[in-house]
Amino acid sequence: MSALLFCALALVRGWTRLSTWRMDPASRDDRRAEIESDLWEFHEDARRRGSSPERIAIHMLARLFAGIPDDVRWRVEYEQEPAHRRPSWLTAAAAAGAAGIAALWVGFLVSTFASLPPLPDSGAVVRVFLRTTPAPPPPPPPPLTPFRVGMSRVQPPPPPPSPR
Amino acid sequence: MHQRGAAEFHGYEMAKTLGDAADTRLLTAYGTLYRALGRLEKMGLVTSRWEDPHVPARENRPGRRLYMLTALGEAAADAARGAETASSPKRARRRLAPA
Repeated sequence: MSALLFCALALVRGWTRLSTWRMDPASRDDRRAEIESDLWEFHEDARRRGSSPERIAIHMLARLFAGIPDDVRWRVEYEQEPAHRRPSWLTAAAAAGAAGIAALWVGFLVSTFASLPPLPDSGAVVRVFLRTTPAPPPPPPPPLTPFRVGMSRVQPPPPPPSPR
Repeated sequence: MHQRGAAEFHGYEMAKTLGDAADTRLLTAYGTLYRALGRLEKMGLVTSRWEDPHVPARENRPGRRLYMLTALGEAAADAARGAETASSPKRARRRLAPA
């Protein structure tokens, strides 16, 4: 199986799982099984006709993307059916819970920022980062040692005689 | 499907028949096809059943959901075909001609 065909199959299956998420088990399983059967039939039919795996994958993806608006409408229609509509108190509770969590999060952020020390003004920050450092001190002079000039060894001059 | 005398058909078979009839390469999209079949079933024009699980197990493939036209569906299909023939006789004649 080619990588493209593998990706196409995974995308179709993934989208079907997503579009049937949280449906009643019977409708969900029917839809998933129906799409799985269609994928198998199409793959086998195209393979018998000698289509390449890439061609099969592109056709699957085209069928998937062209059908997404209808999948969304189908799901919206399903949710609007009285048998599947969630009770209003449950929707209200979920909305209140989400709003409460959002409020807690905002409160936490506000209290965190309030407890921080005040930020320095930008001028001070620039001065700190652009301050010129003093030049390093010059290195100490090297000690006097005998040195060679050409092939002869040059001795340093003898110290002058001390007066008595 | 009704014209071909198929008593029962599954989703892919339907898509393929529609594609052949319209002479298009791209088959009906998954979402469009199964939404339409679901609506037809709700309207009482088709009924569906899952095939006997022994058959797909023996053939090593997923099970098919088989659709069948109801009496109401057959009447609606005949009416739609009559209306189509009346509105565009040339087109209908071309479709019905043998390949």
